[in-house]
Amino acid sequence: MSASTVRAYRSIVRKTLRDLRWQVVGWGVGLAGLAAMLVLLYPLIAEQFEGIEIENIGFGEIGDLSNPREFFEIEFFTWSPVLMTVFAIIAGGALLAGEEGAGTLELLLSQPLSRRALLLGKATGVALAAVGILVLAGVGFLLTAPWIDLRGEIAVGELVVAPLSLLTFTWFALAATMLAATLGRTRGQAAALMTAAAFVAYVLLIAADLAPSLDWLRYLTPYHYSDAQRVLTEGTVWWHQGGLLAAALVCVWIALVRFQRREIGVGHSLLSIPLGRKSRPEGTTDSGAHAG
Amino acid sequence: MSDSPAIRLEGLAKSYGDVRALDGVDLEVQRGEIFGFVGPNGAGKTTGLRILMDLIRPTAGRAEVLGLDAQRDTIEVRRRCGYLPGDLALYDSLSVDACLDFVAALRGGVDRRYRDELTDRLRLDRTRRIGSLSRGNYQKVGLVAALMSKPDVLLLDEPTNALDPLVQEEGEAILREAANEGRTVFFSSHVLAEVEQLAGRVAMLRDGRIIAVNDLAEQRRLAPQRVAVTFEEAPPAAPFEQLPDVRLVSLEGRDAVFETHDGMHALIQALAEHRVRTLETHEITLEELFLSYYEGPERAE
Repeated sequence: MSASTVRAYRSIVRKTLRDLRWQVVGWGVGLAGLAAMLVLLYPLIAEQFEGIEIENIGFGEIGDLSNPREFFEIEFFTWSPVLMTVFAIIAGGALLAGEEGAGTLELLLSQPLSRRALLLGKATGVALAAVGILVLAGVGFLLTAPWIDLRGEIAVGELVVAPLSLLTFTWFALAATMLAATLGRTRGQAAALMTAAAFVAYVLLIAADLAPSLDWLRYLTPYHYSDAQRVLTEGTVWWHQGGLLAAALVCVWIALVRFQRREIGVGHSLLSIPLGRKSRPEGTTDSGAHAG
Repeated sequence: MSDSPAIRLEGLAKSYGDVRALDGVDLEVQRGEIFGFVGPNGAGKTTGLRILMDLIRPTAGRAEVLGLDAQRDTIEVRRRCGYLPGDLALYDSLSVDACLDFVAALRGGVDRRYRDELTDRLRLDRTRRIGSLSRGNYQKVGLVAALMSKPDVLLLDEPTNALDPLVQEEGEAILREAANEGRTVFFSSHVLAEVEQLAGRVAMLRDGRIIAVNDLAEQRRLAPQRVAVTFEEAPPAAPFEQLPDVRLVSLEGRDAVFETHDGMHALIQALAEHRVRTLETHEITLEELFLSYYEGPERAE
C-alpha cells in the first residue's frame, strides 16, 4: 500500500470519526446514563425482588433480579444489542449511501483514492466509533458502581468492561448495514432493509423463546450470538464472537465488491437547488444516472 | 505515454436502458489545450466527464487521460486530474478552509500558498461555513478544490456556473494561466460566449454524438462577416443578390442582413447606391454557429 493511499485512508477515518462524534457522544452518554440509572436502582430492586425469579422474554432465561449479575444482564445487556442495532442502522447507512445521497461521494471519488480505501476507511471509522460508545457505556458503570453494594457478587471492573462484549455484534450490524447500503441506492433503502432484517431476527429470538418446538430458531439470529444475555453469568462464547467477526468481515468484503462495481449516482447538491428547495438535478434519472 | 493526447475518447458509448447518453464518441484533446465541450442539456457532456473520472462505466468504447485508461488506471488518472462536478456537493458543516484541508489531505501535494492565492483571487472567505455560502461562493470552493493541486488535466463541468461576472473573468484568467503552464483544460458549458472567449477548440454534442469539432481561431479566420443594414427606404433585392461573394441572408422592408467573406468591397459599393441609416458588422459567433447545428435534425445529420 503506497504512502499516499495510507494518507488518504487516514483522512477518511478521521473524517468519519469527526462526522460521527455527536452520535458517539449521544449514544455513549445515553447508554452510560442507562447503566448509571440501573446501578443506582439496583439496591431498591434487589430488595423488592429478593428470591423472586422472572423470565427474560426474548432470551429464554429465568433470572433472579436480586443477583447483580442477572439484574444487569436482564435490564441492560438484553436490550443493548437492540440499541446498538439502531445505532448501526443510522450510522452504517450514512457511511456510503448518505454520502451518495448528498452528492459528496462524487467529490471523494474524484480524488486519488481507491474505492477500497474509501470503504475500508469508513468502516474503520465507524468501528472505532462503536468502541467509543461502548467505552462510554462502561464509564456509566465506573462512575456509579463503586458507590453501590453489589453484594460481593461482581467486581466493578467486570461491569465496566462487559459492554465491550457487544463490540463484535455491533461491528456485524454495522457491516450488514454497509452491505445493505450497497444493495440499495439510498440511505432510506438501506435503513429499511436493515430494519426489516433486524425485526425478523428479533422476532425469531422471541418465537424461539415462547415455543419450545421453535427453539432451533434462535440459532438463526445474530442476537443469539451476541452473548449479551449471558455475558455476566456465563461469559462470552469465543466462537460466537469469532463467528460474528467473521460474518462482519464477509459483509464488508461483499459490500466492497459491490461498491467497486457500482456506478456513482449524482446526489442532491446545493447547486441543483432552485431557490433553496432541494430537487434532483436536470438530466438525472431516478437511479442517479446523469444524462447531461 | 508522454506524447499521448491529454484526453482520448474512442467509440465511447453509455446507455441507461433505452436512453443513449453517449453514442460512439471519438475525440482527442491535446496537452495544453483549452477545450470546450458544448451542447444542450442531456447531450452527454456530464456523462463524458463522469466516465473520465470512473464514476460511471462506459457501455462500449474507451476513455484515456494522458495515455492512462480511465477505467483501469483510475487512481493515477484522478491524481493527475482536477475535477469539478456539475452538481457539486460539499460538506455543509465544514468551513471553507476545513473542506479544502480535507480535499488537500486526500490529494496530497497541495501548495498551501497557491491554494490561498486562488481563494484570494476568487474572493472567497476561507472562514465561512460551507452551508452558509451563496451558490457562487459554493462553486468557487469547488473550483479551488479542483485547481489547488495544479493537476495536469482539469475536467470542469460548467466551471463558471453561478459566478458573478467579475469573478468569472478571474476564473477564466486562472484557467488560461493553467493552459499557459502546459496543463489541459477540458470544460463543459452551455454559455457559448464564455466558451468562445476561453476555448481554443470546441466539440459540439447532440444526443450523445459529436456533430462538430471546431478550431475557434481557424473559425474566426474563415468565418464570414455578417452585415446588418437598415436603409432609409426599402431597397430592391436583385442588385444585392447578384453581388459576387455576398449572400443576402434576409431582406425585410428596410432591414437587410448580408454575409460575406471576400466581397465586403463590392457590398459597400452596392450599399452606396442607397441611403443607409445604420450599418453593423460582426463575425459569425459561436452561438450562431451552434444554432446552425442545432436548428433541426436534418441540419445536424
